[in-house]
Amino acid sequence: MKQLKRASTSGIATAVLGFLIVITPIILPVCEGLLELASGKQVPMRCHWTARAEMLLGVLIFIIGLMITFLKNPQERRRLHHLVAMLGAATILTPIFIIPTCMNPDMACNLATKPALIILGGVVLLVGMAGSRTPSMPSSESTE
Amino acid sequence: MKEINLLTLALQNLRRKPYRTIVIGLCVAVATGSLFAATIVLRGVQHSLTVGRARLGADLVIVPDGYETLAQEAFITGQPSTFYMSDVAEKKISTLSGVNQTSPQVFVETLSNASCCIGEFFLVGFDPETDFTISPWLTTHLDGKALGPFDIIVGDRILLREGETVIFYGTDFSVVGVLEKTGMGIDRTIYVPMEGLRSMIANSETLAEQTLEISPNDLSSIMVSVKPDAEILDVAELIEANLDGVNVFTATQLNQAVGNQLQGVLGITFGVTASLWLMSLFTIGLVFSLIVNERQRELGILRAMGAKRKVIFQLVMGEAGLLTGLGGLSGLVAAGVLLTGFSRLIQLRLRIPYLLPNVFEIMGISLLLLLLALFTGALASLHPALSSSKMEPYAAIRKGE
Repeated sequence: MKQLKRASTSGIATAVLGFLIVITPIILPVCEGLLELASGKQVPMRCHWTARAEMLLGVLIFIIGLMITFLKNPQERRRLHHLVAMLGAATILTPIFIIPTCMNPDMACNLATKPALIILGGVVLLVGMAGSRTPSMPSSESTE
Repeated sequence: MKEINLLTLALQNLRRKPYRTIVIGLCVAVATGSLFAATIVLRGVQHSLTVGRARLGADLVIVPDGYETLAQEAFITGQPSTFYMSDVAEKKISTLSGVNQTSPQVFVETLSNASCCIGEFFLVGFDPETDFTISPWLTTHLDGKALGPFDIIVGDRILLREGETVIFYGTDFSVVGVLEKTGMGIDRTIYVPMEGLRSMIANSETLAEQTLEISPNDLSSIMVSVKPDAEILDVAELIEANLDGVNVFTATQLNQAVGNQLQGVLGITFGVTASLWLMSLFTIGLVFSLIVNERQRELGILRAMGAKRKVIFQLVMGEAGLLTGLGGLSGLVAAGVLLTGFSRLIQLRLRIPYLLPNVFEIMGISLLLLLLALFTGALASLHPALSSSKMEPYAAIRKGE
């Protein structure tokens, strides 16, 4: 029962972190300017896509957090925690390598959005790793 | 069976009430973390000013009257500022007693769509013949190679590296060096030899989108080094007395300008942190008094089983120490992560120079604050620990029933 309680706490924490990742680009917006291509067409800066990708990751983390909260099977929870850890790592890697933010370190995306997302991603990674190490309960208890 | 000792017993007691443990731990973490952040920012500013002042090299900076605040801001934050005065001022200053050397500088602001960088950057024209700001760096970093008129030196925060070329106002420049980080405006400054800068200004009419209206006799600032036997303030007064329309500021005044900017923010931060410490002290004291009252029966049984007064005292003190120690450590880690992540944002918002102090200094500050957190726990739980250790076993068990 105690382990179930612990797992649900980490589920709630995961969902809250997922929600925070979703709202980070809203509270701490990325660069708003547009880039003009040689063709004359105006396109958003690449940090715009970083923010979109991070919001999607946040939604996934939020949903998995809710699933962890309400799932009763500890094995399933552990598997989902593995997934949470991977999504946390993806949250960290996205603004650094996958869809890097703008080059200028003084731009809005690098000043606030990127560090906030990396920190949140780090916490998600830690929660996922801690949750995936929670020992599974004996089968008699897990069926209760 | 696991051996029970004071540490395991204290840990079990803390785990038994997770909510209470987390809340008290958070109190200590917030207090320790804020104090750590404020101290590191303060030391970072001092470190940056020391490094920046050494790079600036000048004892006095002369700018047109009315522009001293803008000039100081340009030196501290690299915020581009353009103002001009006649070069006659330099000739007059170089003849005054106490003046060792003078070197002129011309400030130009880049256009916001310059090909290297988004945002306005600060171009500073300097005379390699007389300069003592950048030239000492050139002799050690360019292996004695002469600087061409279109060779530029850039600050650490400019997105250009050695060997790259860049166009300013239609003129091509090549980067021959990148200055070390100072945390000051120098990091966002591009140093251009005066000959190249004057050529860029002259050609801007035909090559650039915007013409630069700067006369060949215009200067923005004059850097002055004072003779070793002369008093800096006396020379400053002499310059102001002999020249109209100029303002002189010293390197110390730059520090004062930063101090004024920081005073308000750091004052509030230290005030809030001090209140948090007091609050934590009272909360821990109160909670541990309640804990001791609540656990009289348990402590009485421990005494009846042979535990000495000292053991009970150590148990209560140990719990408080563990709680404040872990809380303090979490606060330090959290503040360290936030400070590292958002240091540039803090620097830009507060408009202060900032350069992270060295690792040993950071470790020393962390250790001191951790000790302070442990001391707070010890002080707050001293009375409950003493009163619980003085309880008679029988009376404690009866009272606790």
